[in-house]
Amino acid sequence: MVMAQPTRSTRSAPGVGVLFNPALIDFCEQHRQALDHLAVIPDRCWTDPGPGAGGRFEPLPAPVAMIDRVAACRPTALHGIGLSICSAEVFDAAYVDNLAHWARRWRAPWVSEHLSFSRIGAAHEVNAALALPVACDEEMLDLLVPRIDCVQQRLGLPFLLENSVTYVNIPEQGMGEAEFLNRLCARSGCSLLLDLHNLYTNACNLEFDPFSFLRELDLGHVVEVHVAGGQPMMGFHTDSHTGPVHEEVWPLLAVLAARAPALQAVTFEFHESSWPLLHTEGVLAQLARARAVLAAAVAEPTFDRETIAALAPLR
Amino acid sequence: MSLAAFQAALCAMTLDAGLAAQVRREGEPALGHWQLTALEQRRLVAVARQAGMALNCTLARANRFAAVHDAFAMSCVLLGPALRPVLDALWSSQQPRNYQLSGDVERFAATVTAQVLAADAPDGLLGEPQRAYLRDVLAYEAQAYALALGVRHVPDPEHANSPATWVDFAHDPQPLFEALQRFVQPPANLPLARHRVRLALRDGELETTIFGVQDGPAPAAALR
Repeated sequence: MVMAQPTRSTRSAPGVGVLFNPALIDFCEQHRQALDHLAVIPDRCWTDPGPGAGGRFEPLPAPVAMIDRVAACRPTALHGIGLSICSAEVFDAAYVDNLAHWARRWRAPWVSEHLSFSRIGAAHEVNAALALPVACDEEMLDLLVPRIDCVQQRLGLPFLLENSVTYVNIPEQGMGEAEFLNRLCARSGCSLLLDLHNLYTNACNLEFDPFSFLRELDLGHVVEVHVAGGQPMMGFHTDSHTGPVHEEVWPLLAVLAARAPALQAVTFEFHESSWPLLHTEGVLAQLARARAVLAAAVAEPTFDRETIAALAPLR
Repeated sequence: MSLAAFQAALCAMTLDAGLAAQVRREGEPALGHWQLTALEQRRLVAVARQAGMALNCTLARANRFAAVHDAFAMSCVLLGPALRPVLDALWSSQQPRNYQLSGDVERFAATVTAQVLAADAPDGLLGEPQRAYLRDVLAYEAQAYALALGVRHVPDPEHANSPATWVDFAHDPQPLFEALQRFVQPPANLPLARHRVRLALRDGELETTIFGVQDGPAPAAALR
């Protein structure tokens, strides 16, 4: 089933919001005018011992009440972390149905998930404790397309998949990630949540040009963008969601926003442990910066190669 | 089933840095446990030989450790170099069963008890007085964790209250807590001095009150 893709009225800037975490509860109520939307991780609102165990999706009243409060303020999209849609042996329809339940409760405009796997094993699951990458090949496309169709039918909402971060390069993949995403969206009708910090992180660590990636990607599928920060670790740039948005991400947003007609939302995400680094002023500053970049991109959408090069001295 | 085997092998390498190192050293023969195509074997060996695989292992351990540390931060400081073998024992005994990684926190206290505190625990993992300090601090943090878990189940956590629970200490908890909350080892020469610590939720916050046993009902100190 192909869902109608969200569209934006011509030349209006996309909205700006945050991925909710518990440090933001007061912020969301006191600065709602700074937020066009929110994204929430619904998995924080239930306990789930996994398929085959009793008591799946037992709601946790405290986090539910928290999200009820923030969802009353602004449109709230769901950003799931537990589906593991790329797992060969696991397709958790009960998990999808639970997502649909909470999406209806919070009147979510769309639901997003990660293009990765962490769950293995059909009868007795094991979890990798880390979102692991998949190969961009025909086998994975064939696995994903019917699953995405099933997810969209059960959700009754647009379904977005997020490009994953990876610290290893799987060889002999058959196609690049941009081509893989283009073909996945075309065949399944899903949309993209393009995480620009994931893109930057992969470009840094795996040594490719993120602007070339944006040129190869069909940006008409991008409905939401994530922007975030990271930090160095063991010789890599990591997607730790630490502090403000990484400086190198802003030029990527400028280029993307000028060329992504379906882009609805830019979402700043940070880990709650970074709240002392940011505080209210820091979060407001990130949102204001995103608005400025988007306004400029909408006003002057004709980025040429020289402009991009000037914006992005990546390495 | 081949893709499933590939993913199982990558997951196993992520959870077990020793296996990842073995695949890095030995190549395809180390993957004999899984039925893999030649392409999948080449992919896994290539991945194992990249520096990013070590980072994957570290990040997976960090993700598993985060919840343990949130609940047992002071016990982790007291364990010092003994923390690593305790975590190795904890994690090798059971792989994560779900994406919420539940279970590790609950099993941590039991693993510390078996590995470090039990009468038949291996000698040398932790000396005195850290063992004596750890016995009490671990019990205190287990109670605090149970209270914090309970808060998730009330709709108005900012006004959550709970009945008091008590933990006995063989030493004055005040200098223990002061040092451990700064992530440093407490003084090694604290005198034996029985205390009782009362824990309770007051308006959603953990309230800790220290009583010297000889003091009677008057609290020696109150912490929030």
